[in-house]
Amino acid sequence: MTRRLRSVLVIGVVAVGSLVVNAAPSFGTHANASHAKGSFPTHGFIWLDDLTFSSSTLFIYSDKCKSAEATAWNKVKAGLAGGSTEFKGAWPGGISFYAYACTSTVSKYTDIMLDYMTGSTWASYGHGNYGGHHHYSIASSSWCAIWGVPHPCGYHISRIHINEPKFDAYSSTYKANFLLHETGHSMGFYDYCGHTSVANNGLYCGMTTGWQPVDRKVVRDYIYKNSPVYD
Amino acid sequence: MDRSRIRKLSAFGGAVAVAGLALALAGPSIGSAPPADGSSLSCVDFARDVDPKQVEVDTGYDAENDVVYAHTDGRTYVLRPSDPACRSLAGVRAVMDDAVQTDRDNEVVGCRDVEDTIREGRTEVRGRTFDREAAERFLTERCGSDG
Repeated sequence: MTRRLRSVLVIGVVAVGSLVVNAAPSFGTHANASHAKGSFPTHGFIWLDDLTFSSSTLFIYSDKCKSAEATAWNKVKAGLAGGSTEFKGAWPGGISFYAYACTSTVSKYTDIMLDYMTGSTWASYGHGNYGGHHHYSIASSSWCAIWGVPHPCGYHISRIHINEPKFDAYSSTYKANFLLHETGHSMGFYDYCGHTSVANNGLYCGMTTGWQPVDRKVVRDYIYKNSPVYD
Repeated sequence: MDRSRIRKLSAFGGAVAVAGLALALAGPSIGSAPPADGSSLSCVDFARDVDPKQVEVDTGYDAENDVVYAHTDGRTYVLRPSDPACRSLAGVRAVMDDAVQTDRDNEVVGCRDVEDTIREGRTEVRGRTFDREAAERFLTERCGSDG
């Protein structure tokens, strides 16, 4: 084998290796950057920050309390159950969403608010031709101080605006998956189509039907990577 | 293998290597997150950094720094709502104002939450210690109340 041929082979191996490294859905370089918005305390909820807390529940308010919501929260409960391999002992009771109230007014204990909007209201907000739009507000420093933590300390609160005419035209299954995706934004996820995930947005890739192992891994190892374990 | 074939292979291998290394080093370009600290930003259009196929439908507001992170129609912005330059961006004005209004609505929650909790004399809420003094400061600073 000539020296030049050996050089060609070495270059080829390096090239293929580089492409493989880049293309593989490795957690460290791929999923984190494009899959999640960031980590607590800039994203997420203070109520999930203690990884040992057994009752890690987020309270959901909705101005319509549509039947698909119950299906969606059951999917959350199943997908974020305690004891999963990816949680590594965190949230022993799992993470769940509790349908706390049917009201158009946010009030005490609201973590996530679902606002169903008429077509004209939706259009006036400039949200485009989509089904939902997530709004997060980063809690103020004085609110964080109440809980003895510095600012920032996560979302307070997360609101999901829903284009009701579009939502009503979805199948019952799609409605639940849509709510799963939108509340995925509340949990700290971006829209993402690189692999099957709750972050799949239904536009450039189909909605997923539930929380995936890689999503749980991102929640535990990235979004709440700074959270205390107390062990 | 003749010399010209080796040369061609060499050139091809080199090109692939350069492209591969560039891709590997560049990492994912989509979804470039806005800087965490928006305090020095005024009105930044991150549209160039966003994959047009990635349709973000998520808006964040940091009241502490008065900065909106807006994702709309496949574009990403960091905006200061009070900046006239930002307000001149007609396509995002409604989204920006919506983010601010949503936060004002949320403030109502915070005020009620804290007032109720003080009234109830609670020292713990949802597994976390409730600092009454900080809560009273919160009411004064954020709710226009002396507690």
